[in-house]
Amino acid sequence: MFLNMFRKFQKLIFKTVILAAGLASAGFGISQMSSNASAQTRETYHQVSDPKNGGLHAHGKEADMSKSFFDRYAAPKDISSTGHRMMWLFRYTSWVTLFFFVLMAGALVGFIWVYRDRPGRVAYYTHGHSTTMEAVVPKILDIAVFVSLDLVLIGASFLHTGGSFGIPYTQLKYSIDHPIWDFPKGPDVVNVQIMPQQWVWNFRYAGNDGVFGTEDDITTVNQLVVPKGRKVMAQIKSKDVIHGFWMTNVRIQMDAIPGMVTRFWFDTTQTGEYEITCAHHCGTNHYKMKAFLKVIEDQDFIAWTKENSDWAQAAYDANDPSTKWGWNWSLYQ
Amino acid sequence: MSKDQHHQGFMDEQTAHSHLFEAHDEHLHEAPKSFFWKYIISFDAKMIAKQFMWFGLFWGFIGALMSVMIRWAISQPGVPFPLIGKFLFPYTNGVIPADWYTSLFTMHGTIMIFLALTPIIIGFIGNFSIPLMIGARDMIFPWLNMASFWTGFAGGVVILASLFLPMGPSGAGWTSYPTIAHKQWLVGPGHSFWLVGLFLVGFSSIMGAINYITTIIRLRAPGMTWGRLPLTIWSLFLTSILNALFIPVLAAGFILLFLDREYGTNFFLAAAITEKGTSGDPILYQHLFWIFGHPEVYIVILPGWGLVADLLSFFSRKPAFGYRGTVISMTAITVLSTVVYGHHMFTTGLSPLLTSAFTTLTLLISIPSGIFFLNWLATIWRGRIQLKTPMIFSLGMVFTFGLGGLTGLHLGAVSTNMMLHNSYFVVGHFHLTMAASSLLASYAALYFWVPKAFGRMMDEKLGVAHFWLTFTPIVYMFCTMFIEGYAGMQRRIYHPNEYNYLQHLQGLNQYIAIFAAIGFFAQFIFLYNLCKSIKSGKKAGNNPWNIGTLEWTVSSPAPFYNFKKIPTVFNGPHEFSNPKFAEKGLNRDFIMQDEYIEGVSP
Repeated sequence: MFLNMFRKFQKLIFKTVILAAGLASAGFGISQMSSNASAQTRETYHQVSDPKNGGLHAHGKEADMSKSFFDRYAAPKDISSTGHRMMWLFRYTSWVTLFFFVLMAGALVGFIWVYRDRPGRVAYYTHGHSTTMEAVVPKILDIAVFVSLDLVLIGASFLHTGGSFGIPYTQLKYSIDHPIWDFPKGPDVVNVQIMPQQWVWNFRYAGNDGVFGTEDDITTVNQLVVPKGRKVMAQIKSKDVIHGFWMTNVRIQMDAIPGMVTRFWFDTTQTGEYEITCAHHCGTNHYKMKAFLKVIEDQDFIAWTKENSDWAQAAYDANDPSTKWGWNWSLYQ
Repeated sequence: MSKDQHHQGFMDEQTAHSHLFEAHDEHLHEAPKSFFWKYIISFDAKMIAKQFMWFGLFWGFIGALMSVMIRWAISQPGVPFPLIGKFLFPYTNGVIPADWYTSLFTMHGTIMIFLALTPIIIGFIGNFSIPLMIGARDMIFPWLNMASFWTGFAGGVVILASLFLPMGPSGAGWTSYPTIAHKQWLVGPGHSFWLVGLFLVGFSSIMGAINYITTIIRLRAPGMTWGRLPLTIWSLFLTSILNALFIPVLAAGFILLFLDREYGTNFFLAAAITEKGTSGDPILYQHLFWIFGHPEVYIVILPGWGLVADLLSFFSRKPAFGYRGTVISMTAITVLSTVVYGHHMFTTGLSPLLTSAFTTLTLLISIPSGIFFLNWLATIWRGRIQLKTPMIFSLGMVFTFGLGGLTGLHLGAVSTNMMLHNSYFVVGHFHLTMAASSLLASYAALYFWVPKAFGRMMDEKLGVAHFWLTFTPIVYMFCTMFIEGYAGMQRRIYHPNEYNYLQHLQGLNQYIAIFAAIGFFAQFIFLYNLCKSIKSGKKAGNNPWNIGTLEWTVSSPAPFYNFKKIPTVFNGPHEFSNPKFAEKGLNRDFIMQDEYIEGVSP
């Protein structure tokens, strides 16, 4: 009996030591974090971008602890008219998977506890053949997962009433097929050509004449200027390696691939400046390949286009390589 | 059916295979005595399994160290890596530089998949369990088996050499997409070494796969029908089919890429870049890679599924629930896994037709996955659960796989994939499903079979400590990565603070780094336990876990040539707790597979 007690005590000590070690390391982490976070400024962050200052600490902003957990680590602000569909589907999938996960974890932990080996416990002998009653429950659960998750995902992604066979095109509220693929056309659409290279984003606008590859094309580096509320149609190529054009705020990501043109469209609902990132590993400085999405009012955009196109026309230099990379828009329309 | 009739039935089968068995009976070689033939060039599957085990553990150590360095670089930018940093990166005073960071995540992925997990979960489990569990004396092609290990070893040497090249090892990501993998953008010989090394490793896998498939078809003991195979063997069989079919596709892609790099061909270079007028296509490589790459995910995890299905039954003292359903769903996943690869390329501008087809096919996988997963839970339901170390690791694997599997739904549908592609959400997802689950399954296998491989038990307490210090970091790290991915953090990024919208995630990154370090150091508990147990552990009897499969009928460690007499199999692998046992006067809750008991054996 004493031996038994001693063993139990030993087990308790053992568990306590492990727990304490875990807590201590976590505590160490917290103390490290808080001491680091207070020292952070914009300046140090910029200095670390400079390889010469490799020895400096650069810590991110402290997460805003006054917010709730979900707001603190929310996805970047959605500024598109279509992103809410993805967000809805994401949230739906997350909540339903969470439900099934809790069910699964509860069953796992519950079974381990209830059916643990103890004196007198006898296992129930069954092979779970498909004819038995208990084999039905897993199947029902499996079908429940399929219907509540997979069918909803497929339906929400692709279901809409055609647009063919004489039926008018009407979207379901959360159909995502259309926001991704139904490319806009027309005078109201802003066309942009994007040509990334290691590690810069080049953008090109058709300018006053509306034709790409002419002398009045506007080219920008690392800055995509778009008017609020108008649809923007983009064609992307790549000069060297595969890059990934990712606007987290618009919930759109498209690869830039050398030798082919990929396309996407988006629109915006709020003015401001947002970050564009490279999503594909594209070399050593992949992490610095950042551009800005500048959303301005429509009348400002018209003025911006006019001004810059005139300037581009005036400053045109046939020997400047930045004037050369545009391509015929209609080929890939 | 009487015992005699049974024997009669198997006599026919035995006659059909008699040339094999008789040949074995005549040529029972003596076990090799010299060090060279026993430990180096060994034809014995059990010794090759141990070779694979040490090989995998060595590479696992390097891969895990790399993961800690990756987490350090992200969470402590500009701070020298402790202890070994100054030695490894003298020119930056110990700070991990950005170019080495790309090499680190490339080599971490490569090493963990091809040189650490595959050797253990296929090389060790396969070579150790297949002959012993199906009642064979060895693999059907022992020489090929030996060649398989040494080809893989040569591949490992090439990869190891690439770590010390002047321009560093490959930095193209484990996917090695052109055109970043071309010489113009990835200078130095590192990536060519990488291609050659992985080609050899892949060749080793093909040799192993052919051996496994043939052995399982041809060398099953009399009475070992397909319905009596342990689920481990079933899953290894399915894995080997995927290996034999799809590694050649990868090898083809690697050869073309190697020609592009070293001999100036243009298979994957677009005309726009070369300006030579000849045209290749970088997307062609992605198709080749992912036709292999998606089955590869299942290649790594399938043996874990089968093993865990077996272990859950063994340690719940209860037959595997829905054996047939589990086998059918694993087979269905094997088939489906070959037609879903497009979801890795959703952002390459695939047409809507393709994306909707690939989304639907991908989501279909959840039906068979759900079935075998729920069969696992139903197996432990109303069992008598013995929480031995292999069982604890199996239960941990059930948890991580459930978590990872459910998050696959977000990524399988093109619509939600568009905002999560290439984010940390993906990193969390595949680490939980493919990496953590097969890691935990590998450990379950090691704790389970070390008594049979080395004749000594492993320490249970150290095993439990090892489990919690591995499992907790795994769950914490990869669940945090889901949050980061949702917040928009890209994978493979050296310094997230470059972006304003990622700065508030730095606290999470620092936590991940701490847990990564805990998880890394916890593996030393395992190494210590393994070495100590092999040397001076408690002696294991023939059947320390009280399990009925064939490997537990022979002595521990298993003798050379496994079975003196090929056993005849009468029972399924999971015959536990049958109430009829007591009627027959058995005072145990299991029967061996080769034990005929009137009225109990089918």
